[in-house]
Amino acid sequence: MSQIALELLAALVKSVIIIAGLLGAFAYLTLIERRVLARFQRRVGPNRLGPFGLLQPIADALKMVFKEQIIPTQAKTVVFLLAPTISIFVAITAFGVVPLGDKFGSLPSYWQPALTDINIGVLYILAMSSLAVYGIVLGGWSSGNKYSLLGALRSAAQMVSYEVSIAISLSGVIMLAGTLSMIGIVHQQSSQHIWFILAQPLGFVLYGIAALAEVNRAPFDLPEAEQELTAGYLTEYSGLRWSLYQMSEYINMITTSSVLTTLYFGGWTFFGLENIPGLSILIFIVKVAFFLFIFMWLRATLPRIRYDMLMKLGWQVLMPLSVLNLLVTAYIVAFQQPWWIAGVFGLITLLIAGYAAASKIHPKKANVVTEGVALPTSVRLVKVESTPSPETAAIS
Amino acid sequence: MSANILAFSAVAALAIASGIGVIAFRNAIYSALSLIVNLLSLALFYLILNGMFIAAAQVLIYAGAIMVLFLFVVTMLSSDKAELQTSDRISWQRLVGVIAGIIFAAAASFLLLVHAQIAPDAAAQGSNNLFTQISAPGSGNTEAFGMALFHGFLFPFEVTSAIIVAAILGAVVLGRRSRAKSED
Repeated sequence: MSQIALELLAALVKSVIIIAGLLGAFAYLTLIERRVLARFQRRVGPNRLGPFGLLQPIADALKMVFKEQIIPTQAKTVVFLLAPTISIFVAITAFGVVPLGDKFGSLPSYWQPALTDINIGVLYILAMSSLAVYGIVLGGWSSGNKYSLLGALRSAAQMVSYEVSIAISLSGVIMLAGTLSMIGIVHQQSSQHIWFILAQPLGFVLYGIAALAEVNRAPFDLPEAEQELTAGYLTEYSGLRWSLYQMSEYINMITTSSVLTTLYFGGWTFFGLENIPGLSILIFIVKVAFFLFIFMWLRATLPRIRYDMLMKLGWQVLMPLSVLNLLVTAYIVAFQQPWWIAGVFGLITLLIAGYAAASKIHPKKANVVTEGVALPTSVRLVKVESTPSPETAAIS
Repeated sequence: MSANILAFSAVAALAIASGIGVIAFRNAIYSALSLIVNLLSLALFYLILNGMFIAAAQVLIYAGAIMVLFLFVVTMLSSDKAELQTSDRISWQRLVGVIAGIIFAAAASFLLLVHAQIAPDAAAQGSNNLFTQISAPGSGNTEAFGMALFHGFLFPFEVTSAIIVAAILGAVVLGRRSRAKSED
């Protein structure tokens, strides 16, 4: 009995720590993102409140708490109030199976720094993040606003499309590891002496892109595209409920980074450094922070893609490539070939795909203006005269 | 054991309530939401039965994918109307419904009264105890599930996938034809 009580206590304490940690991380991620974006755009960013602006998140939180929470007259009140709660609940729950570090020496297993080690960990994260769409769809529908509804519908289509690629590209790692447990995958990587990024570069890139779309981050933030949809599903939300949506977006980002770290970058391991007690958690946090920085970097760099391009990318590029990755990995695993075959194959495929994408974005004939090309009305073609005008000729 | 029964009764109440909600709500979106809750409570049943894999698959496929599409269509169709029109009732629907309900209740109560158990008998009949492997508590049920799917039930599995591919192709063909017609 006392054993069960101890385990319950451990679970409770760890849950509180994880939830508090996630909320704190959310608060400071907003600050870090604003500072990073400012640096990218050659601005200063929020730096007034405390050293380096460190008190800014507290001020933002206080402001949010005291803001009026408006419920539109056209809104379906119950669903409208429920939707942000679903979002944040799903986001926090999905993080539950992420192992934060190695277990501390002699402590019993229920004090290891992971909330739980269920034997379907990866599947659990997929299942939970597939529920995340409800928060957005219901929020958009219940607002009683066409912009919100359009944002919600976009989000539903986007998340369902990209979930397929996510599941298929992750299954490469699952086959290599032979387990669905997150802790098991980390142990497999240290026992096989590789990080799975080496064997699965293609799967890593595919999952990264699809996960970016799944968490609705730039350049895939179409559900909240402000030029077209005001703020999409967020339009009618204000105050704390709005920040609940923001919170779930950032927590989903953290979960995605944790999955990338755990599945492709060896989790808490770092060339034996993890054996120093307590350092494994730090290693994990640094790795996750690295991916979070990449998320911000992408947001600062890439413009939002168009909706038809989004669908094309999801169904015609990511899904076939992830099936290809799955087939090659299955061949490696089934015929017990060395892992580097999959790695080399993945790299070559990535190079080809990258070259194809680059030549599509910058075609070689781009500067040749042909007649009859369908152009948007905002683009005007200026005919450059071949012979220099008398004035310029005189100057030269 | 009592905790199990407690959990079961709570989830059962949730499942029944949401099941009634599916048919009782006049607004199609609330019906869809009740169906989602119902499917999630089914996942909880699987969890109580130690079927972690099947529970996650239930959430992932039914609640996470199929119902999202349901909701997608329903929100798109009935966004401006508060209720969908439900006047197109078939006249003999209620009578048939009552008769089918009575038959179902009688069959279920008969099975309950004679303490029918499906799994042990099937396990006794099965050649290599696939059912006992799948229903074994604790670890390894993903492996057992995979073994059953790809060794014991490979042929039905392949037939099912062929049927699904046929359905997808059919949908593509139908969709394309209707688009061409509308363009003409």
